Amino acid sequence: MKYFILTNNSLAAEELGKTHEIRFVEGGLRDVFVEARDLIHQGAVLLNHPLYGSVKPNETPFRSLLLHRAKSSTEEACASVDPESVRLIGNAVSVCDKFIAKKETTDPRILQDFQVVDLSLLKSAMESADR
Amino acid sequence: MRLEIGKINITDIRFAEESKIESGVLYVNPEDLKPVVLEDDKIKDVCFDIAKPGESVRITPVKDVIEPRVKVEGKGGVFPGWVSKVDTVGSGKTLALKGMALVTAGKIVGFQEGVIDMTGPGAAYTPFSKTLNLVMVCEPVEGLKQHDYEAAVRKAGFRVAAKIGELARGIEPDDTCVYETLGIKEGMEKYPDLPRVGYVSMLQTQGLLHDTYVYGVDAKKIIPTIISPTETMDGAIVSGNCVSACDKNPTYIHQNNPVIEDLFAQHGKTINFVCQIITNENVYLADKERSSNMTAKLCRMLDLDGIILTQEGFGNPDTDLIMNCKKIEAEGVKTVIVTDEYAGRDGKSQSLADADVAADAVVTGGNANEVIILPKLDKVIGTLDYINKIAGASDKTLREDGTLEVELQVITAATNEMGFGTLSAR
Repeated sequence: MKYFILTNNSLAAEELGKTHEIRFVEGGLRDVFVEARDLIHQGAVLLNHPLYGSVKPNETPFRSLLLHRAKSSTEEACASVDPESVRLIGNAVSVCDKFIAKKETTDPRILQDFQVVDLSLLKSAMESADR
Repeated sequence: MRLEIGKINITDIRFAEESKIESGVLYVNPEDLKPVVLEDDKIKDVCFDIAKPGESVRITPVKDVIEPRVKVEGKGGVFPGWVSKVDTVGSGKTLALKGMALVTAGKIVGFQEGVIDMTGPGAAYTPFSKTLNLVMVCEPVEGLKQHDYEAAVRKAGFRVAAKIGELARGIEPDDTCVYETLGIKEGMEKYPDLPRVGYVSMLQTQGLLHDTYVYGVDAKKIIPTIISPTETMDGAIVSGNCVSACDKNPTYIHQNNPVIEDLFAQHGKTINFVCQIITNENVYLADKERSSNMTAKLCRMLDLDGIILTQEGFGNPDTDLIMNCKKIEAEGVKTVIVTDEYAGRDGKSQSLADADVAADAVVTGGNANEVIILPKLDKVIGTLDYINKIAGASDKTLREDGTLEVELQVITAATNEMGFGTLSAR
């Protein structure tokens, strides 16, 4: 399955950047969801669950999504928007907004743990996608 | 399959020269257990402590909770695929140390482990404030990766639990319960008028640090399958995950799965408890489709009339939960969901990240976002270094007076999604 990775996790970008197409998002977890939502409305299909990890959106600042290539022509894309992807990313944004915003952690040890977990769960999805 | 569980009631745990069980007291020499932990060169050191109900003790960060057991008759041994070979377990006789637990603690990742308070308001929320706890705090070797450390602590916990369980060999149990599942045809013939009920358990399988193992196999690689619930009681399913503490299913809860216990209690009376079906909660959407298709198909092929469906975690697993429910109901099999809720601090938000009209029978374990103040306790086993970081805490958690403002999320098994918690609307 051809896909690209939409992420704000620099560890994922660093480790997978040479072998995979990365679209890096400068921003927080919600920004990744919003960017993914835009791409999905242009025809991209979500391949992993946006709320993976049981790490609540207000706790981890990192998210990496696997998306199937967007169609090139806008007209063609509009005709083939994947309703399940739209539903899942919409729910993810709602969940994100539901949780009370927390002060982002600046502890480098915790940030590194969040990055590692995010990357490992991304790889778990890639393993299925690469089969 | 017929399994006898012999229950040995443990009334106290004490450190002593000789490790043994005598008159219901578990005597432990930590020096006997240390080599069992340190045989893994990824663990630098370990220390043991004891926490008893009612003591002013807080255990954190908690990783897993395990009930020591030993298999004395029948095939295989406890925790198959880990400390025993992969013989099929679930028949014969197993002795269980009741009233106590082995708790593994220490930092793995700084945000996904839990809290067990042995006294105060927090104690009311965790079933493990009522057990005598032997706590094992491991220290990893320098530079060890988080997932290697998780695996090392997980496996060390099973080895130590098995070592303690061995002390029960030869002891006459205080009480014995018998659990028996029948073959499909046998069951239909014996209970022709009873509804055929199954138990579908969704295992947490999202990836490293979020995995569950069946006979040593990483459950995200399985397609849904049937097992005897008695296999689960013998430790065929073990926890390997660091998800939110309140709705994580520690190994202890798999061993003492309350859904299985309650279904067995009705088996032959109001229902025919046919089997357990295990499925997973992968992050890849096509895996979710495949697994829920398979689970629904199994329910149909087994001609089940109804099932109980349990999950582990929030968010991603909610999608599996709803997919399973929808597809199983579509096969004409009545489905009851057991879950918990993330309904916001005021309890007014939507509880699950997914929903469907087919999910019309739901049992809740409680709202994980509910806020609670935990008092300062005299002793901490483990460390409070990460208390502001764990899921359900915030930068305001540790207050100046030493009290903690947290969501129920931080408390181990507070809103357990197999119904092992104590929350009730009554």
